[in-house]
Amino acid sequence: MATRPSKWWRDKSVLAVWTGLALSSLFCAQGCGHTRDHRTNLIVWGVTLGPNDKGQADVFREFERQNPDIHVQTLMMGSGGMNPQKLMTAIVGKVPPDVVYQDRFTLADWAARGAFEPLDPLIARDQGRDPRTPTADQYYPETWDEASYKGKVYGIPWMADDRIFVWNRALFREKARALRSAGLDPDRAPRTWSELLAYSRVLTEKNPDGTLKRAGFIPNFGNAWFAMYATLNDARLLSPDGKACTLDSSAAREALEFMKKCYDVLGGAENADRYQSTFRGEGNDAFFTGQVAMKIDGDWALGGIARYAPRLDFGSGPPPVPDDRFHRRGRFQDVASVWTSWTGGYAYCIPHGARHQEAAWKFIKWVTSYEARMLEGRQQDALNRTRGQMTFPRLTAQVRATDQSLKDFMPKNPALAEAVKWHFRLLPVSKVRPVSFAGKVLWDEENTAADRALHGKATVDAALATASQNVQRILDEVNDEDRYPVANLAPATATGLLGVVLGGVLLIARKHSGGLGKLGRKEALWGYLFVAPWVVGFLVLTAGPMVVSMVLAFTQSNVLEPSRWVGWKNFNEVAVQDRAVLIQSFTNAFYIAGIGVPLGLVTGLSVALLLNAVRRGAALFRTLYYLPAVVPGIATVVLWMWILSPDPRMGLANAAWNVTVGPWFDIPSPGWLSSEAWAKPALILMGLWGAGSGFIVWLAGLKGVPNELYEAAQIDGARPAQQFWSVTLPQLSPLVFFNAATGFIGAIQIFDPVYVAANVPGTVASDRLTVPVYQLFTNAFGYFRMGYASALAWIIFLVILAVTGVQFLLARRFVHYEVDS
Amino acid sequence: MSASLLFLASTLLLWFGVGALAGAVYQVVRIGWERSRWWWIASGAGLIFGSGIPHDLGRPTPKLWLPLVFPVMPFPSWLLLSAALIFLPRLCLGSVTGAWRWRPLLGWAAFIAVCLSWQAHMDPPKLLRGALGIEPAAGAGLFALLVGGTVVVARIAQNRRGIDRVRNAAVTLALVAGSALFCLPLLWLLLTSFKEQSDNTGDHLIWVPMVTQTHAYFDTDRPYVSTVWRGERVWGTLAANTPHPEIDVERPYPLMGWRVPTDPATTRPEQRLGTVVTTTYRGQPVTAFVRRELVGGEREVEVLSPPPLQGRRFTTTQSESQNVRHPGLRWQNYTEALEWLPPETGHGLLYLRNSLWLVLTTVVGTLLSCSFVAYGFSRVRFPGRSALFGLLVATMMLPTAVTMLPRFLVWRWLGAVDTLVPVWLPHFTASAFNVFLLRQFFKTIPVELEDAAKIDGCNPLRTYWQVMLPQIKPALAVIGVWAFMGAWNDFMGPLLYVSSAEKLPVSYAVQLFSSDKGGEFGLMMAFATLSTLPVLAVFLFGQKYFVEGVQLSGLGGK
Repeated sequence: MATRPSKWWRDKSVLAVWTGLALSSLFCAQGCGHTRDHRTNLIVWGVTLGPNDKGQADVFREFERQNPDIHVQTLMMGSGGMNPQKLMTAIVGKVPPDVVYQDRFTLADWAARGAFEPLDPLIARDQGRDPRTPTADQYYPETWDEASYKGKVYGIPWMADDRIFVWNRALFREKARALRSAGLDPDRAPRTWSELLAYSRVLTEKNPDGTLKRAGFIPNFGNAWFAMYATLNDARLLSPDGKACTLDSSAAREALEFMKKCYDVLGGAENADRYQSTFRGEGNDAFFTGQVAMKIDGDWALGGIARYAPRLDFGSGPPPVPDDRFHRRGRFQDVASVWTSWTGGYAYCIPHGARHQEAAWKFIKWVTSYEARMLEGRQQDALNRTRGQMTFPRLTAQVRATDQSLKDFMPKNPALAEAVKWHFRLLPVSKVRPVSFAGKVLWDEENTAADRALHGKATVDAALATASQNVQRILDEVNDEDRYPVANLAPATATGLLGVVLGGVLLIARKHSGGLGKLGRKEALWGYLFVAPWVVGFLVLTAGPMVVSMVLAFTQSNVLEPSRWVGWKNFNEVAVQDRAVLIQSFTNAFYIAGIGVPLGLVTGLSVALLLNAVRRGAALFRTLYYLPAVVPGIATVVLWMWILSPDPRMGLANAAWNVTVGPWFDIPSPGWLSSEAWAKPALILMGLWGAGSGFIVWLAGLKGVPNELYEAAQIDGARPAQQFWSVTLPQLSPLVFFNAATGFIGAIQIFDPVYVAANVPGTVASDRLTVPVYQLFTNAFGYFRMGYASALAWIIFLVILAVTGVQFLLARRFVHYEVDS
Repeated sequence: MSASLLFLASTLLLWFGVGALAGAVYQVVRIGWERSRWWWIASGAGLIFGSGIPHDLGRPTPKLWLPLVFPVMPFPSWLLLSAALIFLPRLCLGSVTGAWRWRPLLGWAAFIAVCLSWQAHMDPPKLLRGALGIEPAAGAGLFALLVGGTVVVARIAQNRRGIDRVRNAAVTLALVAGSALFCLPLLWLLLTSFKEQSDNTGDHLIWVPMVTQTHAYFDTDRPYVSTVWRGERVWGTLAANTPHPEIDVERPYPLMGWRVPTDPATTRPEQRLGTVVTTTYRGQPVTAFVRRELVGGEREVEVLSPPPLQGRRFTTTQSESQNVRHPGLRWQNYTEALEWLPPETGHGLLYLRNSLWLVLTTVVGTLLSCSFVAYGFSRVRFPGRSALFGLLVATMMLPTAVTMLPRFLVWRWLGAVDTLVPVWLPHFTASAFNVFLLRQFFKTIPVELEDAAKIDGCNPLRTYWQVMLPQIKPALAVIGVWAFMGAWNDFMGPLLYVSSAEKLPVSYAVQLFSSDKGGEFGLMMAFATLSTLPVLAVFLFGQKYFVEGVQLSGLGGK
């Protein structure tokens, strides 16, 4: 084989490919170099300019024209919205962007940890000098206050949004008789919660099997979260001083009870979820098609109506309020406005440690100015006209710009105009989410609680009480932090490291107290040289970090603020207070590993057995079966999320299901990643796709089984099946054990698919699909709760250690090792 | 209880009957009628009794039905069945031979109890709902196929060679079916990447990609030109009423909305692409192309054919004009996916460069450091070797999660966040698994070789480099290919450490792209395909060495 002439050629071509790759990479470096120039590179995160964002693009471009020495680079980076990890890592890593376009309700969170720069000094300096300087009086008070924390301004609000109630007039007319007989007026919208329920009851239609044919009102369809209903019921989720979480107040409970009643009308949240999973976007929006009769939605939804359903006959109004509020009874006696809504929006901020602060401030002053906002509207309109699309008045946080926009772009369509008017009327009376450093946690917890209560996983009271406790813990952590002594981590870490090194040296020295000869000493030196790369790596990247991790587990620290010793508090939190999450995450991981790994082994082994038996075309089949494993992990997840999309009109899996398993056995197609029950099987399926490639190791193992054993078995009259069970499998058992052990350890640490899935809207709530490493990751790099994360890491370590131990015990019983002669 | 149990019983009988029928046919062809009598009786009994028992579960019963209960049983039922199959014979055998073995029996009983309690949560009739209603003709066809197939197989399998041939055919068939299943998602990836957005989100799945026909033309009303701006060619409409000629950029997409000055040296007129539609002009069907979309769903079109009307312009609506489409591949998904990437990254070129850099360093680092360390552990004697090696093996069990956060702090302290260094440098410190593997491999190489080198005056470094390293090429090939794939696919590293667009590798770019452009399936799949191509090429190229290497490298156990 070594003398085959083709090998020389092959080796050369390997070389050629590598040279080509190297050259092309160099070429890339050259080719891209030209975009670098002497200008300041102002990096803005949270903004991407798509083909529909001409207005914004022109605003940025105008800034560059005014400041020829600055280049604006925009990036989405998954920041701005709900994924804080990237931004936090960048700030902590001292490489933050210069400007961040951030959701306002999370601002206090960042501000409290010193991650954003206060803007007051800059405002005070420029006020009166620069007419573009943003000041509080130009903005709606609620929006300005939302971007402030403890009296300091951390962001300049840009857009604002609020939510109104829209209803399908045509449907109301169609159901006029039924509505009238229920005592309801088909020509107007419900105004109170009890009216809303009554309308929904009449408008909801069900199929004989109980599934929905039409929904009257789905509380979470459109854009209305628990926060919306809490706002309508004047539920305060935090005490005024921000020190106590009141998520379980009676007003909040009422709001959630109301949501639950809405879902009860629809036959439960599960039923509504199943119905919603068939909804389409864009032109086939469920509200346009009449699948949903009423909804609460934001101002951006009007654009969709104008674009895809300009002739839609719909009415609009304020979101229905609790009956007492409508009649100004009880605690609503003195309420200033009967109608209210919930507003949110984004703000431009400067992260701590930004490299070009002045340029960033100049940029923010420009984009938030009245002129820029007007320019944005004009340019956007110009683009929309060429596309045959309408421009809507833009709700922004700035009063003057909003008023002007209303004048400039009032739609002619009366239904749309009415809706726009309601949006503008409600904006001044709308409320924001509470401003707190725990804003993000509060938001996550309240939605988890709502989700649990609505899906019957807990009672309303219990769900809210749990959530309230969880938020309270975070509040206390900061409010009471003076209880814990400030920690200097360096001595402890240094002591630990020294201990590790000394211990290692002592161990080696003790074991080999006997002297080495001269030759031996020389060889030993060589030995240490050879293993040095690993020893260095071990000390710096494994042992050192483990010591650090141990130390951190007893502290509360987030890098940006001084650390504090907290003793066993972190372990207590992870294992006792957050028991439910911990158990859930490990259950998920064990489920995925426990079913996925054996299935994977069986798949790989079956492919190997077949490949071992086939006479012709083995090479081709080998390639085909290995291909899935070659596809990069992230691409695999992206592909499978597409294949497993619940809508059978798009997802290959469910399309196949709907012509086979579905009709045969009367099982509705699964929701895969969007349903709780099927999310884990979906992940297992993804893993299984690549598991066919495991054959390669099995094949090697099969070739290693001595032929004499088979011959002996044949002489004994064993049939193929018997040969497999009594010769092949025992011979392969060490390999089975090895693959099972490493596969299991790997599968428990599953992370990539969960992370990718969690960052795509429409997948099951990430807390239900959570796995230990994901949990660790979000705590470590999303919140930089380093103490908590370290404690969790040690618990993961212990669990894996235990699992491995059990596996070794099992191995002793079942694994057959050849005895070396 | 009765309906479900009856259904279960009848299904069992039917399966038994069908199986016995196949057996009977096989026996007749192989041996003759005389030996097949019991098979026939069994199959007849099974089929007759099985279909004789009423199996109405409260829904219309098809005329003919295939009892498919078992293949689609829920998971716990499967477990229960298999447990019962193991448990019952053991129980019986044990009582016959008197050799009771309590512990396994108790274990199996416990297992069955768990399965039962699991099943208790399920809806009993649904467990047994497995009948497949089929048309009588189709049923007859299936039946004929079964009998015919058995006959053919039995004819061929008359002798040893025949049996071999049948077995080989079955194996090949299974392999073909399996590989089709495994490659279907890949095929779907490719198909999706070539489809238009409307086909990906249409009302049903589409297997043949279609493309919309376009007509290229020079727009005289709103001149479409291209120019070079900041070193990159941009396309757009010439802006009206400006003192100096300027362009409203339309492409590349990320620059959309910029109005840039034209550069006389590089500016040139460009053709627009208008969608070709069929519509009617004064009652006459015409083919035309869209010049412009207007407000309110109207579009201005220009007639292409029939010739007498060519060049005529008029206004129609979107609903009255149908796009002309024909089967074809939409390659633009690929160019547009790249066009979408930030211009600062050279439209993805930098991603490629970063990934190649990662791959290069990782492969070199892994091969060098692992073989180096493994040589030390296998052939050089020094105090503490076994202790250190034990430590190395122990780190294999250490979850990466434990050191994730502190490692980040270490790199932060070293000022290496937002570079690729933390992603590739650790590969120069040898990974436990590879060292373990290579050490096994080194051990198989005869010591004499090394001794000869030593006598020739080589120091250990030279021995390692010149004598030992060439001996372990197959193992190195495997580790190299794995390192390549690992580096190309690495996601967690870049996710943690890289935040500048210019420093992203491809793997992370795919995730960012998919979260930014979640709805554009064609573009997403095109980008995913592009991210696969380099590894695919390396694998196809190196697979021969790879497969051989795995077999030689002792990965197959021991």
